[in-house]
Amino acid sequence: MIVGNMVFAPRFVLVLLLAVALLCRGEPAAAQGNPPVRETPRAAPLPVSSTAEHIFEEARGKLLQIRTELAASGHQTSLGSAFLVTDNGIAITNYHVVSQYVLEPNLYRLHYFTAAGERGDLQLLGFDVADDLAVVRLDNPPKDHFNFDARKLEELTKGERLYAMGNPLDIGFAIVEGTYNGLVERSYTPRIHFSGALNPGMSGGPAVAPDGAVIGVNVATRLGGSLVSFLVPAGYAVALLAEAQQHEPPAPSALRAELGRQIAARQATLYAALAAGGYRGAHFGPYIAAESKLDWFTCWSQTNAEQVPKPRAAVETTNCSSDSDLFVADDLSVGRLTIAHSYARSTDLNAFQFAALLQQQDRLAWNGFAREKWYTAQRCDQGFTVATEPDQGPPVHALWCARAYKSFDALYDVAVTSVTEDRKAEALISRFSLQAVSYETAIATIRQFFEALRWQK
Amino acid sequence: MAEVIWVEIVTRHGQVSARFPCPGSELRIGRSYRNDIVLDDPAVAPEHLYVTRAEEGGFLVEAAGDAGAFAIGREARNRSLVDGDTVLRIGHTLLRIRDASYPVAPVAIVQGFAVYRPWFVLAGLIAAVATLHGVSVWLGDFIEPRASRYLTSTALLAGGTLFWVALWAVFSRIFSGAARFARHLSIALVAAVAYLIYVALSNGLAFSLATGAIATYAFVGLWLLLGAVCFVHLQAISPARPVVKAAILIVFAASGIAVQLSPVLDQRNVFAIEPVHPLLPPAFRLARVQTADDFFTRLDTLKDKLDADRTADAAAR
Repeated sequence: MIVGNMVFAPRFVLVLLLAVALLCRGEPAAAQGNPPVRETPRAAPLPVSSTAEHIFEEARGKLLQIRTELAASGHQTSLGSAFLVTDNGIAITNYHVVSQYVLEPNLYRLHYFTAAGERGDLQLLGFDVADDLAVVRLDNPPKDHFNFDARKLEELTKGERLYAMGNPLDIGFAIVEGTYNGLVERSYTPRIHFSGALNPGMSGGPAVAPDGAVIGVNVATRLGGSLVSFLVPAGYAVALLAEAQQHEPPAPSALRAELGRQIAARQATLYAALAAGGYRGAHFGPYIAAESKLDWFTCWSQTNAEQVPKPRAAVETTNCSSDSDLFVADDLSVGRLTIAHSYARSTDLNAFQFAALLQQQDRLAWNGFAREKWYTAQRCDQGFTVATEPDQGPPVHALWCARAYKSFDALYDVAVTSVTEDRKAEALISRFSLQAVSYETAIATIRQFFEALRWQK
Repeated sequence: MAEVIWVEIVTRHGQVSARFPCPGSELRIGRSYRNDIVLDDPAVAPEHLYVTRAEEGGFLVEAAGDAGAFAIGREARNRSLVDGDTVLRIGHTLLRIRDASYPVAPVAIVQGFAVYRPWFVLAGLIAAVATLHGVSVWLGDFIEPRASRYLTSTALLAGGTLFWVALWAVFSRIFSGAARFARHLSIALVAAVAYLIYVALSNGLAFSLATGAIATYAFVGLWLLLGAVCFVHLQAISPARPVVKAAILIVFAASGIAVQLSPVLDQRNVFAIEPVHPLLPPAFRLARVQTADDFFTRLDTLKDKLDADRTADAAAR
């Protein structure tokens, strides 16, 4: 979810990491009573530029740039955008814009800049890591603010014009015109597909309808895509705002624990959805292996048949991974599930050579950077196992590795690899990797996965 | 036979590197050609020692001039009564003096008179290593078979072995005067056979018993093997002080094990423990196949270890 652009000067690398891919989407410019704006897109189209011109003029005083700075020196470490949503100085931005502060409140401070160049301190009122949103309060706020669009997402139609705003690459506040393209399909996390150019630094800014009402919050663009950008639907920001106004702001020292709680809750929901979604049987030679039925899994297959020199065993691999990433920190993203099956059939290998081929295929792949910072060392166990019910499935050689999150109690990463053990010249290698999961859920999930393995003797 | 006094030049390790018989009851040692024994040691005087038989047995050694003191142990002398076991030092040369009365050890009985044919044995060992190595490469080769793969790895193995043997032969030549190439080669080949069998066994057992630790910690055995091989090489150079050598090599092997083990034990180094997951044909399975119930119950125990790791890490911070 991070926008990469090789053209950017090195000084923007940090911005890319932190504030890059997020864009805001529509906001409810409370200026509902602005006849020219309302008329523009639908009834009597005016030149597009005049709509954008008008929207930006209305929004200018309500946009903010958010800077995370080192507490000790005051030097900036990352940039993002935000927008005011109440008359007492409460603004919405992305969680990932303030994530450094949430994780290390003693090391970082949050500040804002208005379009007029006024600077002030920010207080974090609440955040929602699952939807990548945060609520902040300004110490000396302007009165003006955005309103949220009251329409439900279903009422929007593909092709509607949206205008995203923010401060891209720290070169000044800007407005970007694009179109609403519905919710992203095959994604666990609800995101609006916005066809417009979001750039690093616009994270947390609003994307508004032609009437100025906020539709979503700029959040990300797709690496390798072109103008494929994403917005957090405004409804989540409304809910977070309401919750933050009802509760006392969390103490800085309690932020990390709250983050851990939110991650655990989000992941519990994810794994419950996975279990409820069930598995379908995918055929691999004589084996029938489990693939999730959920539509937020995307599978890609490949074969080694075209390899040169000609392979001595046919290997077909299907790799399914879920679009359920969860940004936690610049160097920690959790939430992705990966299920991969490789079916290998020997053509002229002897049993030892075939086993050597299987051994080479079966590698554990942990995701994530900065492993020592976030995880304990992995611990592994292996053994031969078979379904408890007789003749339910083939015996397998299973390798189970797990590691704990240092900062978040009761969360683990688990990766399992199994190789079927019933034939000399054919085998199915299955890999399942789960991130940020409770140990009990991991065991239950993997068990459900393995018990779905069937065979034709 | 006329009386003969023997002068032996010895190495620092007590081995004889030269032996001179001198008829008569006295002799002179020095660097000039006026002496009975001429030494090419620049730290030896032209006329250095004068040796005569002592009436009470043994020899009387006297310095022949002001420059020509000698030492017994660390003590400098100008005149001393010595026996056949006393080692004298003049300049950089060690020597001792004996005569016909010096007792020698009883004869060692040769067990049979079969001729030792090292090259015959060596050829057998080389064939064994080449076969084991070739088979292990072949069994692990699942790509298109190519002679170059076998030849390259065999050449590397042969080159490595020869380098190793040459190193020991040079040490041997330096410290004991003889290279003993065939001896060192046979030691290295036996070690190579042991190594190949050990690796195949540890991988095989790790799979058969479903115990990855056997493969993960196989390096412990390899260090011990290396220590044992070095010990045998050292004994071939000289059988002296086996206990000291063994102690040094035990420390060496233990250090190697500790260095390789430390990242495994250091739980904070998360790159350390890559699970080894060797696979063999299903027919080699020896461990019991657990039911899923038992298997997942066993995995539950890992959670406690991970929680302990997390707690330990929090305590360390």
